Amino acid sequence: MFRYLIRRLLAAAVIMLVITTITFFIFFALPSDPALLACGKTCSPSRLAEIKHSLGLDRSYLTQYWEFLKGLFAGRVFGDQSVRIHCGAPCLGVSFQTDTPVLTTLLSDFPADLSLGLGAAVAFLVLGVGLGTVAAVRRGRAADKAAVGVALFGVSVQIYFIGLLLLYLFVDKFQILPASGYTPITEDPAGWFQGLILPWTTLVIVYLAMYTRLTRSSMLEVFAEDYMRTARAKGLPAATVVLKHGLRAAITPIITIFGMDVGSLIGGSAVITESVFGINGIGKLAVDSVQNSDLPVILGTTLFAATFVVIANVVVDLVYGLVDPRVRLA
Amino acid sequence: MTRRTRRSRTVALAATAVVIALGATACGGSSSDSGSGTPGKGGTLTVLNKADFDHLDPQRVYTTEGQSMDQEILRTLTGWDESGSKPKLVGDLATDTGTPSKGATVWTFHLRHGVKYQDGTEVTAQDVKYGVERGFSSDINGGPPYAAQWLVGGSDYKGPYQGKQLDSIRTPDRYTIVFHLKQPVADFNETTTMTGWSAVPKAHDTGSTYDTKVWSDGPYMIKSYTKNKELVLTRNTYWSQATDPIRQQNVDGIDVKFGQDESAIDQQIKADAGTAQTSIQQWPIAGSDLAQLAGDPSLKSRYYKIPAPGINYLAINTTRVKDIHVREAIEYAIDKTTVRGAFGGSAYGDYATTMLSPGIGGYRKFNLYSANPAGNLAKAKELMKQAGNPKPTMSIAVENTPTEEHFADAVKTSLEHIGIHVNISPIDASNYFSTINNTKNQYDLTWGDWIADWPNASTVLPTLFDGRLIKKNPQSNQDLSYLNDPKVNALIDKAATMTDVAQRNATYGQMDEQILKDAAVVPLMYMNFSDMSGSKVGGVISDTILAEPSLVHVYIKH
Repeated sequence: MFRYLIRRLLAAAVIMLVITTITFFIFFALPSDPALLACGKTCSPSRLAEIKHSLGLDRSYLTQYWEFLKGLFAGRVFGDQSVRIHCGAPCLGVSFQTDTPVLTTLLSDFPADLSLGLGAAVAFLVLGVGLGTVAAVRRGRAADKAAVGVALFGVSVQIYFIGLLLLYLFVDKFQILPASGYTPITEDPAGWFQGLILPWTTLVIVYLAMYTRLTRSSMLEVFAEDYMRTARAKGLPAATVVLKHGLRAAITPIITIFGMDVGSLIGGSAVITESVFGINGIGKLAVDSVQNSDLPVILGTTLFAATFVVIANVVVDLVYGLVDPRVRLA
Repeated sequence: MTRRTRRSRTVALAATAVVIALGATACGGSSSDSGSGTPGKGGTLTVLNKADFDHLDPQRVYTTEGQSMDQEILRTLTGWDESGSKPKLVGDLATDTGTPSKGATVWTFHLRHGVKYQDGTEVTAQDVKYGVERGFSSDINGGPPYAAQWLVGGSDYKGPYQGKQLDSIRTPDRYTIVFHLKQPVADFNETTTMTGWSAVPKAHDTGSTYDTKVWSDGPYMIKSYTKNKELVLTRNTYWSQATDPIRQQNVDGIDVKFGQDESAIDQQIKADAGTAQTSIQQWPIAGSDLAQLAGDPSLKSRYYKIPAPGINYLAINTTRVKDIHVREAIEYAIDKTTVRGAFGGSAYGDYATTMLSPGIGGYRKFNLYSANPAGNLAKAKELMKQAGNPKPTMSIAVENTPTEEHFADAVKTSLEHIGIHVNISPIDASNYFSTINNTKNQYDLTWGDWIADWPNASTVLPTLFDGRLIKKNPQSNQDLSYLNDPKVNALIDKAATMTDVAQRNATYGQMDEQILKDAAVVPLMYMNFSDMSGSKVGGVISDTILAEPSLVHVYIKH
């Protein structure tokens, strides 16, 4: 188990290195020039050169990449003119746009994504698996059709549509909920909860569908197994058959998907939800950074998101071992 | 989206296709203190913006949103008093609008006594000098180029951080500042209304991180500022109404929230519930919401339609489309009614026939081409005949947004009538201007828009049509027509040396006409921008200089 974990973590480190390298070099292959963007209108070639220098973009790509990697472990100091910006290890660089260390920004944005992602994930997992189970048990009946219908609706609508509709109804029209936005839980727990109700609902509507369908089909498959018939034949209560024998076996593929979803949601993939509800999270940061050709932030957000997906995968593997005794980690 | 690219004043505004309805004044400031409730002190104004400012650092900011917010925090040498029917140039930090000498190559400003920073110390001429100087540093980038262009020694100066000063800015005493310019600049005192010409105390300069730590000498100071999240302003208790001819200090504080979806902001302010009642937006209303909101009579008292000193145009590359008859034919052929439809219809703005918009010094009304905005195909075909009926294929560069692609379709349809085949090149919107301003990327037709930095032709025509600048700034060329007409260049040089305003304006009018005679550009629309506020927000002035709702007199109705 321990050796397995070490192996996985080493593999994860290699994956991260590959991702950073690719992101880094793709950026320089793009036509946009951050120095030119910073320079402003009627930018003279000499001024452009100075700005390139102050952003460190006048050095070779390899040197820049090496500095970046070094900064991850040793930290860096930026700026030699107006101000020195200290960026301690693990240093992801300093934003071209805001002159703030990237990690500082990521960490300040992270609680929003964590709240949004985890809260929504718990809700759509419980509801999705529940609905899927009901649909499987009541296969072909009204409950099944209703559950599948709900799922179909969810998978068909778009986040920006649902989000704006919910905002219109609950905030603007009936004024049940306060205007959206993220309030840190440490400041005002009630405000935190109220502000997240609509974003959570939006994500649940969209993600629920997949979990319902997946659970339903996975359960139906398991129901056809011989041991299920045996369980029923030996007179176990229906609930035990369905939940203990059925669901436990059916849930493995769902855990895989769930792990990936949670990892990417926390890592900032809920970008449309973030932007509709005015939650300044990592997803928005990533999109903005691409638009502003802000390389350090692009790298930082990519690395951050990748970290969570990789961690989620390791966790999923560990959970497998707990749920399914047939899986041995070695 | 924060498209604060580089001709930022343009881009930030152009980011959203603005569609406006409601008939209103074509130009001049229009005060909108309407609605019930009495002006009073207190309360907090909430500003809902979809994105953070490009900068608040006065020497770096170059978007209208940022410049407008800076008016609450800091003061410039001169400024615009827009409480009347027309913007009026007044002294802000300075006692008056400055004194030119030596043929407007030397400008002297005397500072008011008793203007104080947020720590109670007095603003000095040395602080203004230092503020202007720091803009020369490559760390303090992004701002307008005027200081570097005009101040003697400006092209070689690298900023104050290595201990060097710029000798062409003199401060004979604490309250006098003198600028020595390379060339006569008759409207230099309008340049000094821009935030770059403000005071920064050396002791509080934090270099490239100054954005979040701007040291206030205006009515409000920064209480907290988390980039991309929230800016909270609170009263600067040392600010005194007696020294400030432009601003008031009515509300207790201003809370700017960034990062909400623009439609969500529009909906919230329209619904006018809770804090939305005391909220206002700085980014223009989203294109998709505009037609509906502009036509809603219940919003009239809190809807601000602001004519911008700007132009939406199509540049014809004169080095690629060499035959003047073909260019003239394009002028006649383009159906501006369908073009305007793409941008949102009559609400977007009036049809333009000149590059200078009404309200800009130097504007003269004329129309060299079709009297009917739908074009004159017969005339256009006749001109194509004179050109020998070529059947050219032309490229057109536009942003890859639905609005602009519809616009490109409209142009394509128009030109197909006269045998010109058009290939549309949509360019990533956030990199649009940095792409087309690079002389490596040339198109036959290029869409552009431009908002004057101050309402004078000097910030429009010389920048957009001085062909001698193309080689000088190959990566940031603004002359999208690649026009290099000796007649236009001569007029630019002539106007630059003129100090008589009336004569100078006449020269700019002539220049505008010469550019249109060259058929270098098709002026499309004079632009408007629209914003809304909640019902409890009063004292909003339509700032026609920045095309923003000005907050300098804002109050909360009780």
